[in-house]
Amino acid sequence: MHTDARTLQSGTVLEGDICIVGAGAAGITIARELASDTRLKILLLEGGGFEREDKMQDLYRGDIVGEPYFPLQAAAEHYFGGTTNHWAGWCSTYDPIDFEKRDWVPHSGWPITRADLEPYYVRAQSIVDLGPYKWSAADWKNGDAARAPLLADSRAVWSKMWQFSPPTRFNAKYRDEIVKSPNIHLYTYANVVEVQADDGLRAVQSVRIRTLEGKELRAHAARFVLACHTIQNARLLLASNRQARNGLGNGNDLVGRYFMEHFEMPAAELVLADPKLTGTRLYEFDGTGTPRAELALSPEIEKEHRILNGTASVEAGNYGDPVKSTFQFIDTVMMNKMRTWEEGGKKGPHPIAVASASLAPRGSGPPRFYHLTTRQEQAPNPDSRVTLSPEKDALGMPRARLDWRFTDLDKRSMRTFYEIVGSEMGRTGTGRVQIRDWLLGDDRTWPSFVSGGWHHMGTTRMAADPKQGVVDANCRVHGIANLYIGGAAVYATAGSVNPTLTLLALSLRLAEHLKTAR
Amino acid sequence: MLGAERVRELGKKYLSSAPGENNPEALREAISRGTGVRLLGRGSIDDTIRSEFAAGHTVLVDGWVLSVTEARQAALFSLTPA
Repeated sequence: MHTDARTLQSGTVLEGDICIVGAGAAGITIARELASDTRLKILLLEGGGFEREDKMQDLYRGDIVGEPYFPLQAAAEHYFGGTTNHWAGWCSTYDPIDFEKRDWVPHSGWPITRADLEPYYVRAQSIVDLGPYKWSAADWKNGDAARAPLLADSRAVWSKMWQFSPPTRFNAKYRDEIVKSPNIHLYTYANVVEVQADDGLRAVQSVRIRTLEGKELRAHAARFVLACHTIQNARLLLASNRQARNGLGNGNDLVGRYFMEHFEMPAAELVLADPKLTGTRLYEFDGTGTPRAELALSPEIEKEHRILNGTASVEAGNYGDPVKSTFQFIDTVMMNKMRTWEEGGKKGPHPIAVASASLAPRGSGPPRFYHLTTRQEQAPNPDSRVTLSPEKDALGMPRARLDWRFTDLDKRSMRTFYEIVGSEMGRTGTGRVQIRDWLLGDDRTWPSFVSGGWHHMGTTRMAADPKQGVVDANCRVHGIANLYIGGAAVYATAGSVNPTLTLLALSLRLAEHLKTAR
Repeated sequence: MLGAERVRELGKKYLSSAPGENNPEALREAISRGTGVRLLGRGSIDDTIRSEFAAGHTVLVDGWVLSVTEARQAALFSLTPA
């Protein structure tokens, strides 16, 4: 069922068993899973409609302080389907080490393990139309010697696989299913502006909803799930401060802290000793969905060198050509071009392919030079955080203020990564690696092109101890019996790869918990 | 692999960071010590370089991850007339 909240009378009270705030990848996945239990009435509240609208995106606008960041209203999509409406579809699984307590990474460690997520990862594949659950390089050699992994005998370096979603747009794929579901009631243009708890702040009673037209509604449910994006989840809890001065669920001053991204920046060059003898096809991005690999370090080496988890993409190019970071390359202009191309039926080459053409390897024969681009977690940092801006949006809600910050470990880890890869390339006679200038200086100076990947994580991190995290192992807010958080906001560490597949696995796990723990 | 000009430049940069080795004899001596033998042939140098990479006996020269011996080889090359 679907209702446009703007058509309801002010004062209307919505009633359900479970109320999910936000119809993005997490909210839709949780709702679909819960819908199989026909006894449940599920309220799914989406702030936007079914199309992108500037006035709805503007509700996501916020302040940027600290390190430079992409405009918040362009970094996430505020309508049905959420940010799957503009994601690129890159998927990979987190590594076991991502969930472990690492004594060299402050605040690391989840209260769950990689093994706990395994069955949900398997099921998550089909949600975003991935191939089989095969994640080793050997699985994707495809009988092609040129797809053999680099440094195959190395104990230090391995090749981590990626699979590519078409990309699945949840708006297109799941809209009809949700609208036709007998026990999911989707409300669009229903922006939640406050979460209201009982007097003891031990349970949520309702959420307050506003429309841009000035209507005010309320939703009651037995249980609530906030799944409205990492930054917006924190913003909503912090802005729910009439009963708790620092915001709901924030008794330990943790809501909004530990905001994390993935660094995505050009970091090194690789020159092969003999291009004719070294196949690199496993690392190619061919744009047709063929899985590809990136270079990664073994957990033993990361432990030995006390560094973060990361990978490097291997892209053929020309020595000395300018290479852009993700934020530089896919700016708002490129985003608009990609949206137009997709909405126009994908006619002609992809805009990224057009923009990349000038950087293609020149000359004949197999390429000798490759650009290595870092993809790395940032260390969990309590000072990297989301707070509230003094400015309010059109609904009267304080805007988010993002203070993105780094640590010395972030940069040292990147440099060490390439020193190790460079040594392994030299040891095996494969080639040589040159680390880019910006990575050679001190560990506190960052270049102007510092970049994430629009991967927003943390802010309501998971921890067994309420003094270390906002939610417990079941994504339930510590101290509040019926409030849960969905999405990448609960990540305790960022992992090295894009967050969506893990977000889906966690959503499936949360839905199972909600179905069984009544 | 890197080309003669780049190797020559790398050699100069290495010497600027290791001025004590800035003469051919010192470099030959250091390279010999590195191999454990006196420049017997290309094979033994290659083995040394690979061993140095395996042991992490590397230096960063203009960002290049080089074994110490090959950095010294580049330095020696840079001292020879072009």
